[in-house]
Amino acid sequence: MKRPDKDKSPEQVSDLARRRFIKGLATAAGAAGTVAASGGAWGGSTLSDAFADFFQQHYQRMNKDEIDAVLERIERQAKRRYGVDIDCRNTPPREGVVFGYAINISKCRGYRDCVHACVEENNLAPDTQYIRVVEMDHGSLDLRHGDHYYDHDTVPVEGKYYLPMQCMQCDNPPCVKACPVEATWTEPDGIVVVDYNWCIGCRYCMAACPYQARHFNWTTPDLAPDDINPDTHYLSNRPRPRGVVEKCHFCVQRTRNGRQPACQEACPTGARVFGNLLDPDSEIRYVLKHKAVFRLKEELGTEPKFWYYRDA
Amino acid sequence: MKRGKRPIGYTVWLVTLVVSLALATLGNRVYAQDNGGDWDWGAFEAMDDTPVTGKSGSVAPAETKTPAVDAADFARSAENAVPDFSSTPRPAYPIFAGLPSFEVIPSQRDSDMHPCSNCHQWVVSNPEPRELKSPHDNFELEHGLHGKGGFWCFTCHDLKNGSGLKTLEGEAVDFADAYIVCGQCHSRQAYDWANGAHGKRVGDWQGTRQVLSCTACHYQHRPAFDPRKPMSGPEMRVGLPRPEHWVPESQRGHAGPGHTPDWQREAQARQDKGMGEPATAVPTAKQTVKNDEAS
Repeated sequence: MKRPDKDKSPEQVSDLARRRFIKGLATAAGAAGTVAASGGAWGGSTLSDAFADFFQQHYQRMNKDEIDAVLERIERQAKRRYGVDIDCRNTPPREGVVFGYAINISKCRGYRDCVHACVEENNLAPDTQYIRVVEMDHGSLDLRHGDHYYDHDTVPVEGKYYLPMQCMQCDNPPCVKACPVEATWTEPDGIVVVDYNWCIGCRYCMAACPYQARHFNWTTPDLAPDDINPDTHYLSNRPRPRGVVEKCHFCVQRTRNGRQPACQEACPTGARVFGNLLDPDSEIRYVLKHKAVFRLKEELGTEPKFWYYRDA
Repeated sequence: MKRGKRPIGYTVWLVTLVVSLALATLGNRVYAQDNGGDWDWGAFEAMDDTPVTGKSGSVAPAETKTPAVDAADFARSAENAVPDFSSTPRPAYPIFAGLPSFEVIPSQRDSDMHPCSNCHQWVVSNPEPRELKSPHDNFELEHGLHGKGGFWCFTCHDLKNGSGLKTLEGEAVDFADAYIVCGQCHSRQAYDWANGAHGKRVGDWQGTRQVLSCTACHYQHRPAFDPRKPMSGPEMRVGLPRPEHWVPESQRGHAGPGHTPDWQREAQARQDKGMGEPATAVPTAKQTVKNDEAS
């Protein structure tokens, strides 16, 4: 989003901000507590919406009516900020489903198609990427020698293999334990989610995560209205504010509706296997049962629900 | 050129062509001799107007008429590597006992885009295994390389049925069921594929599994994947030592969307101008905060 006052001096900007503040106050007074539809102040919100944002309850403590009001407000704010009609939903987790992921590292060729499918699906700021494809030396699992900045003319490169890393949705997540305000937790379907409205941006979880899976919004994500995916969920890809932590959530907005995560759908080599760990007939259970699988940094006891396997 | 110096093969070839065309007019089928001469495609261009009909009824016909494709160009064309999801799924044959049922999406180009049938719907093939010469010299079979040329067209293609395949035992197989032919040798991959550890599932993670057939991803005559340019990676953090292969964003020719945030581009420009060593320079407070972003 282009800031309207980008080319003005700091004095002018602060003057403008003050004027907008006063204007907002006047609007609020005029509307006397009812929803005021006018104005672009309050971070693209109205005064009442900004207040409701500030005093919003924790996701897990809200009842259905309160959540519905929140979803409506999020849609309203997205419309005001980006001019886009998004559909923000609160699809509950399914009974008897715990999601797991497996990647065939014999098949991954480092094309990074998954990375960009994820960026598009999840309304990420263009400089944020949930998936990191690490280029590793053959015969080594030493992540310190991995390179995720690789930029060759063609991949795969002789003597290297590719190890995509994203949030492992740990069963014993250190990030959840580190959060001082319980803004992140494990959902019943095994996905570790973040309540962006409850997060205080302390970044303790980022320090606690051994997989560097969490990312911080230093600025309000710079989204082009045309690129916004309107299919959103409260706990996943709705437009995020500045100053909160976000991470891969196995595409909650898709997988709870039965669809594949965007990264799996985009993978051109079929290296990614996703499914219900509780279903004995699922592909992921076949992989876990018949392939030599491993997880990253197992010795830490984080119990990731994210496995790697190879052919043979 | 003097008349007497014309090679004798030319005359033989000319006679063959005349006889062939005569036969084509009479019986609409030609027996072609692979005689090493130059091939006159003009004789068959008119016939190319007739659409190639695949055996499979479930596969939608191509929208445009089948063009006369150069086989080598076809093999190396970019779209060849892109899986085709548009075909109608059909239930998989139980090639392994006791496995959960699933559906296979055949590759549409198998029946409609195959350049061989442009001619071989009219021309009876020579079943004799031989080194391919004109007009086949632009086609390279790079399959079964560990067998060192043990493969021949009719290892997989059905001589009697121009638009079909056959098993090693001679049973006819539709193009849409190509995985039966592939699975004869690649049984381990086929077993993994039938169970979901190999191959690409499309659609939903739940419900009946819909997977792409082998030839949707592997070009059957050259099954290995081609190396490719990767999409853009994360932006390098300002101040980090750059790896040898690193190229600035502005100089990259990326397939995918790339984006450098303004603050990082500005900081990079400052660094490139020589305003202090990146590793030792004391960054401003604003920069320090933002530098941590990429971690």
